[in-house]
Amino acid sequence: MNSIIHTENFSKRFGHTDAVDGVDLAVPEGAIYALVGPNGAGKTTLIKMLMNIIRPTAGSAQVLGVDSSKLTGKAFERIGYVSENQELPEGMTVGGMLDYFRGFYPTWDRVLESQLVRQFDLPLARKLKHLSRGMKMKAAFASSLAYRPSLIVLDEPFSGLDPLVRDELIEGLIELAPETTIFISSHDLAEIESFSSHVGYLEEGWLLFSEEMSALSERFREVTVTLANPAPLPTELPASWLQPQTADCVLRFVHSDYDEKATARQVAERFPSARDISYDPMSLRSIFLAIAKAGRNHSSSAQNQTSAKEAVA
Amino acid sequence: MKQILHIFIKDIRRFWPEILISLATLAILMYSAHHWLMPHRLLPDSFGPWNHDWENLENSNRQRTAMLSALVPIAWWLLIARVIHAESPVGDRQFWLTRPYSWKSLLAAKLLFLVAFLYLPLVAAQSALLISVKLNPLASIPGMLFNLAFVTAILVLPVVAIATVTSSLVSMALTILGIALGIGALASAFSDARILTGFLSPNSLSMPVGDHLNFAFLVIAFCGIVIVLQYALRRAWLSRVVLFGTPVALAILSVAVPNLLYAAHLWVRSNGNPDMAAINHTYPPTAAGATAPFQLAYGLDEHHQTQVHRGANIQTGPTVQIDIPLALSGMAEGTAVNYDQILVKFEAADGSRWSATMPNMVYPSLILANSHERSAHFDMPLAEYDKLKSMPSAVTITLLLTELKGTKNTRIPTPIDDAEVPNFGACVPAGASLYCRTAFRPPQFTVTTPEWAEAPCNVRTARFVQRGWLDWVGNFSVEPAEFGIVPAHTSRISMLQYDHYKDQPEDTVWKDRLCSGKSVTLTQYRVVGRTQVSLNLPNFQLPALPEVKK
Repeated sequence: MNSIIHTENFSKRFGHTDAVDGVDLAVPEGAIYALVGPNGAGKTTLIKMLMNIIRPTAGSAQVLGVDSSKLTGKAFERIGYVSENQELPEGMTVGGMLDYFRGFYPTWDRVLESQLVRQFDLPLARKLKHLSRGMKMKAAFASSLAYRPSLIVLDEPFSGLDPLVRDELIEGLIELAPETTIFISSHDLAEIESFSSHVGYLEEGWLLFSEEMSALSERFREVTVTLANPAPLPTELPASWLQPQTADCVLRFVHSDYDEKATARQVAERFPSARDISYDPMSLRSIFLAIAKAGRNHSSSAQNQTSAKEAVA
Repeated sequence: MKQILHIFIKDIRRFWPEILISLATLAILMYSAHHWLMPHRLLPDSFGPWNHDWENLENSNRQRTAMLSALVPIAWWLLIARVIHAESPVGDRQFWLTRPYSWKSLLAAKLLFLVAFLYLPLVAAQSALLISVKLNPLASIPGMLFNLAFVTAILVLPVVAIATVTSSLVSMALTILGIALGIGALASAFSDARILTGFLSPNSLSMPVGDHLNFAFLVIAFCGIVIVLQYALRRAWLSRVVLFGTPVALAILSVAVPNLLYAAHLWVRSNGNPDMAAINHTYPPTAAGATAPFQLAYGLDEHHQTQVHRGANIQTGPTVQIDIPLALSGMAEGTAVNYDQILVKFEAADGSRWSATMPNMVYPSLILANSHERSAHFDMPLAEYDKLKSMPSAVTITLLLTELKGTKNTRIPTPIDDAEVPNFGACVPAGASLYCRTAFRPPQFTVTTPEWAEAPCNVRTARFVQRGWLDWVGNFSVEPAEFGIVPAHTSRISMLQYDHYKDQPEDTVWKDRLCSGKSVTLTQYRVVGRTQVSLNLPNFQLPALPEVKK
């Protein structure tokens, strides 16, 4: 499958800080790719580099087959970009903005525009500066979807929005999903889980993993082991065991590379007194909480970053 | 082109209030300027020789116009800031960065906007004003283009460049304020410095042709590079460094370094004495075989004596003001000189020496072909005077001169009405003066010569009533325009000598009259070079100072 976005060793350094560090990423055509990670992980920086808003320090990226550093002008006729940080032409009315943007896009679909205006209940005559944050995001969505872009890039689009607005935006997005590729960064794991096909996890500039959502769900399990006797945690545990903890006769951990037989064997080797093992599927939110907490338990040194990457990859 | 127009039309729709403010400010300025330039239209019945209402009116209109002249750039800057910042090339949050904008189209659209709502209105307003004050704009096209270059270099493009490296009106205003303060600080730092170029160019006569225009083009090119750089690369810090760092570096290289070098040169080579090499470079002595502009002789006779008076100078303390009469002869018709500076050397029999160069303080500084007498006026420190007064000295007096040649003569018959004066501008009698308007610059240096009538004539029909003295207006620059938004300048040519004698009735003191049917001749001069003329007085004795009355 063709990659709509493809990066190699994509990096950005601000002073002594690596905001994005050697990211290798591939977003297949037609995917809804969710880029997740804690605050300050480098998601926005990565997206801004992809959109040629800021320049990478090292590495390269191809977006829709174009080198991201040459992504200007006409190339944006096929890209829709919405960001929580983006400034809109505040002095314009919603209708004025849509009229204005229409002139830039040969593929602008006026029927879709009207549909989006109705769907989002946009007040065409009102100036953008007089709109609420949610309404502004809806206006930004409408102006970025109406020309049926081949790639939609969304940077934290749902941040700070009420659930109703979020649902409306996701609905609008899902309707276009079959004919486009969506790259979205968000904290809203629950919403993303419902419609994302791929997911990548970025932490302190490192892309810890990037894979299909179904594969991710398959390989993460919350493992509960009932022991015959209380036992201390061994010092050496597999890297794929995240957040291991014991309480009385119960051992719990998150397995980031779950395979029923192999996991049972690993447990039996380290806890011979294990009597019962249960494997519970995890929500995306639980998976990322586990990864994030595991990451915080490490220091931020490059060596431990590598360990964390190995643990979840 | 489609995208350029698309952005342009959007900006018109969005910024029409700012456009209106800018146009209204410009219109008000031109309206005020019209009244300043044509005060006689407001006071048609009281424009006589002794009525000074027009003068007060002209002054108040001039001041109001000057204030409004400051408002127009502010309105322009507001317009520039709003239109550039609508799609600011600074920052990473602007909506246009991820839309199908071509930076070239964006920049072209912004420039088109400025042409449409800043330059075209300016040209239209300037043309309308010139027509309204009886000056022909078509005859002033070079001046208009020159003026536009100055306006672009001083008021527009630097502000556009600043707008492209700032992201808001506030940051832009603070930047302009900072630059103004910086320029003020630099000017203050160098105000006492002896600037090399300042010495070599002792007054405004000497600005070489094209210097201002070259400077304007340099600024335009430099700002243009910064603007294109910022739009193409969107690297605000790089553009800021180029925009603000380059002028500072150039100022240091072109002002500070030459000043320091020149100060060092004076200290090492001249030890406080006049720098003869620099003087001879700027005012070359008459070459062997060539004719000096005039011959100089000691003008001592029964009416003209060397005079000395006590004086004081803030920097050097007590001084003696010395006037040595000079006699001039042999000056060719149609020529003139401007007496710029004087260089004086004293060498006494006992070896005492004193020399100095100083600006001419004798008025008028202009010496015409029919002039025969002049004085060498200079200040000598009292201590030097005390050393030199007791014995004869060998004195050399050197006048440093700008040579002039008469070019155009224009005769205006009287009575003069408000009308265009060919090769000059438009003039109207105003009291005892000619009140003249010229397009885009003060007139070329022009000397007036009234044709006096010996017999009295009817004062009511002749606007000019009395004997004048030598008067001139204008400057020697040959550039077709000076910087300014108002495209006209005014100048007054006096036709009257205000000599009043207490023991005589006023009417009898004026011997000559400018009557109806006579004329006034305007003669324009241009600079042809610089030179120096010297006089040696081998056995000169300084007179004693008058006793101080107690």
